[in-house]
Amino acid sequence: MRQYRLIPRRSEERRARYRSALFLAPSVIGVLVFFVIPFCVVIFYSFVDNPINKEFVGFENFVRLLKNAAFKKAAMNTLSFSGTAVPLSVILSLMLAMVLESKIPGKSKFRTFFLSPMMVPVASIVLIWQVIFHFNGALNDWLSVFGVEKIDWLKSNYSQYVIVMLFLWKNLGYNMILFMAALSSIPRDQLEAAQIDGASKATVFWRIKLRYLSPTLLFVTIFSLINSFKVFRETYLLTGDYPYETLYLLQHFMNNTFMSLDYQKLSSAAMIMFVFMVIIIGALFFVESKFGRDVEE
Amino acid sequence: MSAPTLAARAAGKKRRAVIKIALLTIWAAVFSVIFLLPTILTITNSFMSPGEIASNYGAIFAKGEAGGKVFISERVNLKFIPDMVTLRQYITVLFKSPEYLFKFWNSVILVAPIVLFQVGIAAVASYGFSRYRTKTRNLLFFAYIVLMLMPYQVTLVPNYLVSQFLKTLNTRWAIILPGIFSPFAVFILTKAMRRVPKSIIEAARLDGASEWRVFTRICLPECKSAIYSVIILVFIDYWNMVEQVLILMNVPEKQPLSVFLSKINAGEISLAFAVATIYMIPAILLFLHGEDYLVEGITYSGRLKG
Amino acid sequence: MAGIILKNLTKIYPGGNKAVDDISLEIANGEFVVFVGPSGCGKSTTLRMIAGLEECTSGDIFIGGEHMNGVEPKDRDVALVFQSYALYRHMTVYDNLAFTLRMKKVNKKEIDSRVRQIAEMLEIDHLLSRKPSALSGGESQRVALGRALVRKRKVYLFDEPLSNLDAKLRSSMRAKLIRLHEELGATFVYVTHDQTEAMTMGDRIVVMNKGRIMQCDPPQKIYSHPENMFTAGFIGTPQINFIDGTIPPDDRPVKLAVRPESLLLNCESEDCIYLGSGKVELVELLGANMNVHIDLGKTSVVLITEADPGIARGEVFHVSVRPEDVLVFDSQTGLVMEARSYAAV
Repeated sequence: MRQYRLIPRRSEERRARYRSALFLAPSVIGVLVFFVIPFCVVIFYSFVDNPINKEFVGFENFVRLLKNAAFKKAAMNTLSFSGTAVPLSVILSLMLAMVLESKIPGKSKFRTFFLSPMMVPVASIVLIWQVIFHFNGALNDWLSVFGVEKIDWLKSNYSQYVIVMLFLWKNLGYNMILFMAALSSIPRDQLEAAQIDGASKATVFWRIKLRYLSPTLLFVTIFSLINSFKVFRETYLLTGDYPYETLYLLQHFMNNTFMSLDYQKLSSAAMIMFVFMVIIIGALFFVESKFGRDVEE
Repeated sequence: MSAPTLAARAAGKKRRAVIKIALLTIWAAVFSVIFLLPTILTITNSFMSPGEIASNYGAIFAKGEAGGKVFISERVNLKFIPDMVTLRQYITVLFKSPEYLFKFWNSVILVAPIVLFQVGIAAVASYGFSRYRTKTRNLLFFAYIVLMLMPYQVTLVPNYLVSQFLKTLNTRWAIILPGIFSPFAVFILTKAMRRVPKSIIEAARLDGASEWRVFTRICLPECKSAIYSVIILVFIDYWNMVEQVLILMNVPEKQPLSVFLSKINAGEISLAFAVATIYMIPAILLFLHGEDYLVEGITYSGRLKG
Repeated sequence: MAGIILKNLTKIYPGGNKAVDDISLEIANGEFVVFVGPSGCGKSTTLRMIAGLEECTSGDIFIGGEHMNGVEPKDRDVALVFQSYALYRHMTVYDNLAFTLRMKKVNKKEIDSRVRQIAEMLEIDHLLSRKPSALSGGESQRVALGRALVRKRKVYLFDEPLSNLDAKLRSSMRAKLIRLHEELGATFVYVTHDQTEAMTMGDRIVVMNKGRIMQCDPPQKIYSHPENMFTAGFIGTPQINFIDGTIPPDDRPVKLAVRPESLLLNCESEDCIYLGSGKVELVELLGANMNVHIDLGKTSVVLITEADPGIARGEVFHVSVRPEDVLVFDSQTGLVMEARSYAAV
């Protein structure tokens, strides 16, 4: 065999990998500058007495925040809202998806209709909600036909239900699409095999369909939860800075705290939310990996 | 005893199935009406004359804003079809009170750069994420997912601190810059790009394409529909923005229509429906044109893992 | 055009899986070499290392005398036809063929004439404006081939390119590839798990197993003189028959291997070696020939004879073989042995 000079070179794969890492650079730098680094500052702020003195105070800020009446109320309201809205939105959107997947005529039209609220800016639709839910509004007008007393929908304990409705109106379509995709990706042969094996419809649903839906269920739950924090938009546009007390949400609390620029309060509130979210996401991932492991692609 | 034959049972089952489909269709139709009505009402009401609006809704808006001085009617009158269709509201909005057009423009100059740059930077980054799936990159991608899932209540505080540091508070940059680097588009496009078969990329490398050419000539076109769907989703999200504006750019004259619309005062309530409709138009057009892409994008977003 | 030299090539995947284990091979300029072996034997990995899509853990690759370790795929000047064809789905057939020329900044007129020429040669000129999604399997395959051939390259690599075609198309494409190789006179390296492809196409066959080269010889030699039990067993259908045997002086156990067509039924000639007798278990009629499975007690054998209605299930036959048709392998090492005398047990 002829001898050739061997030129040592860095391996081609590693070089390609470095080069493709360059593609990540703009995004990663941006995320670092605008989210990660300032979040480290937030963590720092949440453990010191104030931004000038910078004396470490342990968990004092958190303790103070958890004792803060406004925060407690906002957190409770947000939790109770999410606790109602998220399960409802998961169940209802799954129902919608199953109806549309059950061979009804005009499926694509219905899909368009159910999806349309997602595209309508909240600000555009708020007027109509006001007309409907105002004390002198259309809903009370209709109900009066049945002799129902006038209710001040937005300024009473009913207000949360109204917001839940608006939330469902806007978000069901999105979740429905996710469920439709999941339903249609269940292997046909599995369902057919179960049918031939004599499984009842209920068994097929609980034992087969739900297994295949579990990753989507996880995702829809997380996404609904996050979107439920965004319902501030509807609440704010509908009722302004100072809503009825059951509508006082965490975002209202944050807004007010921004007004007074209390960094400690802001930072510790953001931290608490962050930890809370991480726990929820982690728990859902954990549950899903236990439950949906066998069916993933 | 002769049991009902299998054939008879089958016939009964078929009848029941038909009835079931019919009931489900009716149910879906009722739901459709509920879903469509608010939007349609907003649009039809925009064609009413100011007088008609005032007499229909005076009870609500006049009372709330003007302290009950202008009291027209105790009851509201929610109507589908205007007494008389008129374009007067639109003429006023478009030609006589430029304020609304300014606010519309505010929305455009906030949203357009965010959509453009978020999707652009995300496309590049998603190539980096999908080309090689090393441990570090998978971990980084997971961090992006967590960040994507964080609500505004968490992310706005860091954003505020940066804006303060960069002295961009109360300028448009305070909203545009964090918007550009929001990880949502990266997430969806990475999902899409991971579906481009590896052999196609390898074929292009053997055909003499550089890494950048593989990206622009092969991967981008392969992901065309995913890119379009991300554009729609990002647009919708920011066209609808409220939280960021209130905290990072609380300057009334720079506010986008998505915040300003709710502040239209009683005197101009008649215009509000027309403005609301105009504000819907870009979103609705995008929706009607790209519904299938939107659905595709949503479907991509549903695959948290893998 | 160029020859290829692989020197002590090894590929260990992260996780410790040794895909290719210290192989050395010289491929001459213009040769048609076929790598064959069971799935996971390292043949595709070897091919991908030649292409530069996979880096080698150790060892050296030379193409046309140039050291290629660390050289990017695009600078190696090789073409690869993928098993999945890997056509660019958003481009027309024309653009698929033209892509590599565009990347090399060939001028437009030249591109056009090259693309049309190759399309005509492969009879895909009527498909030029179609997208890959509108092509049949055979058409896609020819486009993939065209994409590799449109530009002159040093080496053409094929990764199981015919495995997604039906049997009829496959045999016509085999003939086409052989003709192409003759016309181009280029170096072809071809990977397949199909021994028919290997036997009919290659100037030389490289049999691989578990990351190692078992044998590298022209097809006829691979068939008639396998160097080890693996090669003997892998090449040929039905499989070669292995029969336990011994060799003198100490009755060491060996494996005797006999091709199915070499086994004889009820041979009365003196120089036949008697292997045993038994009942016919199964008869597979294949038209002119038939496969006969006979149970010899300890083991069962398959033999090929001319179709004969007299051979039926349940009948008893004596099975024997001519001594020159017997291969002897060491039971321990699996390597072929020179043995003048042996006995079946």
